[in-house]
Amino acid sequence: MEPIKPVKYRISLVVVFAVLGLMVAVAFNTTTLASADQSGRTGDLAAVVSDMEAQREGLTTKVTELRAELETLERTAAEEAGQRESFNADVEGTREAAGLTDVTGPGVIVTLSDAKIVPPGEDANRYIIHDFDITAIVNALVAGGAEAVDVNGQRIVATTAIRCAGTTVLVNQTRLGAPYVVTAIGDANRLTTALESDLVASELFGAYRVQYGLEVRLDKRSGLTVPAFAGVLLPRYATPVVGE
Amino acid sequence: MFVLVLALAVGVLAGLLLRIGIPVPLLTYLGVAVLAALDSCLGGVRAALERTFSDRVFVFGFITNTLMAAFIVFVGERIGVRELYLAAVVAFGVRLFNNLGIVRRLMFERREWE
Amino acid sequence: MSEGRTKETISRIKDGSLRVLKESEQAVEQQFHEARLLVSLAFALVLVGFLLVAQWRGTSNATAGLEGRTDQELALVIQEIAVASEDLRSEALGLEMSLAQAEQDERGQEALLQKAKEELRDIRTIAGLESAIGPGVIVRIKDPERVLLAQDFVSLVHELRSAGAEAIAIGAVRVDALSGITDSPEGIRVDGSAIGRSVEIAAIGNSADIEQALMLPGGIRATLTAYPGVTMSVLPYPDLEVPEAVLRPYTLGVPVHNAGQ
Repeated sequence: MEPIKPVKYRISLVVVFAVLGLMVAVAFNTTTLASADQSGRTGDLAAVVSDMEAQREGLTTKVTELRAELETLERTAAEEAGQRESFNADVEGTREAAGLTDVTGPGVIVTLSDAKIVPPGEDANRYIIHDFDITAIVNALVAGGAEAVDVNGQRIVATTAIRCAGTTVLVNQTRLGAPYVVTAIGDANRLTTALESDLVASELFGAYRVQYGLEVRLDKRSGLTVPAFAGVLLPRYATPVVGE
Repeated sequence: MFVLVLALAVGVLAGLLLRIGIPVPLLTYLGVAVLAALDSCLGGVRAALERTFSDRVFVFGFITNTLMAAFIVFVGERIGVRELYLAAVVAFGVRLFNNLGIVRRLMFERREWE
Repeated sequence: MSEGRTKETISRIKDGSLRVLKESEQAVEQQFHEARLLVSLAFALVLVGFLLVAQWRGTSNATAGLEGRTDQELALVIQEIAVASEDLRSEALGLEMSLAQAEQDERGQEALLQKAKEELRDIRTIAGLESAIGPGVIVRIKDPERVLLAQDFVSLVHELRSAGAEAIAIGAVRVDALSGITDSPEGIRVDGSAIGRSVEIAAIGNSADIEQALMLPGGIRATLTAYPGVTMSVLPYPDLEVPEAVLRPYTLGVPVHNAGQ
């Protein structure tokens, strides 16, 4: 049984249904497009950052090459001066101790990652890994006798600062993103004990992991490699105490 | 009824083909507006089946519902109660299912008559 | 309705500065009713309006700050990268000069070797293998109730380093790459030696930069001194000496020399 005035209402109904369809489609478009480019307002600065990072990458390569070139010359000079042995020992000893060489050996890998879900209405800060979480892990590892440590390939040296810039973690002035992989070379059992006895690290492995769903993992491994420090160790204010 | 489904499909297709998008922060507005619009449309169908359909009421209801829903989101956002949009979602959601139930029942009744 | 009440009603309406014509009792009564409704409604609306505007302002300010922070974060990142790039640039320049000198100079070989040794010494100084002197700051922390934890000092060390500190000592212990700060029943230990309720931290570097970084609102000083009894002072010194670190030979790790072999 059809309504008596079908045409009249149908036109408005039809039009409105079409409008509804259009709205749904626009919403759909927006959500899909949004995931494609999330950078909105901060796009400009973000572009500056990546430009600078690329430039810096180039400088690092250049410095590495120049260093190698100069070192060859230096070694020849040392040889001619009859100081080959002592100079080589000097170079190698310094580089090893300063973190300017790769180091291989057994140890542990600690992986830290933000929680997958933040329940709505909760403070998101509790669900992400911060600079102090990483400093705590690194500190516990070196306290446990780690001989070389890196975070996502950034070697921890005497001048390494680990800090947060909002949600970004900077190590050796380099931006890192989760997951944060801390590799430490040393006695795996001692390192594990050190992590367990550290106040912050043990919380991360225990209560926080359970409560907030932070992803924290510890793996004991052998044959690990911790890379050399790629930056510059150039004192501007500190000078060695004079006199041999 | 078939014509209405077709109209809906035409709208969706037009939107997808034209690749229209809106700024992301406005997405909540559109989402709630869509819900309100859906509610109006079901209300319209219901009214048609109940023989109480009026063009003016329907079109006016559609527009005001949609705008009002967006406005509630706007107010919520401005006064810092971002969850206020949930009020619109719940209200329209309840009405939507209510209307849906009535439409279903009316359609079945009509079947039996025929 | 009594005479008295009508009068009272009218006077009350007049008080409300509403002009009401004296008509029949009923009309007055009804008008009074409407007027009261209007007044209370108006009052409520004014209140709602005020609250709405107040809240509105509040949220727009809050979001403005939030947006600013994102840019600020990026600005900080940019600053960090700029510092690192500047270091690299000056290193590259130094290396190029050394190379050029080595190729041209008659006595280049000797000078080169001399320079190389100096550079090695610089690296050893910054790495903690040699004691260092230079300008910087002394941070004095007093914690009479022992409320600070090792992590507080770890944060302080990273704060100092990011402000450009080149050599740091907590008490008499040089803090290098592998220094561990631990909590113990006897208090906080740096590389195993306990620090007391009052400790001096020496940091060589640009004292103005370091001071500024530590004293920042919401910075490390604010954080630490928020604990009961904790005080912290930062004083610049033109001449500080920071001791060398303990030697830490590799036992399990094997260094791999891969450059310039």
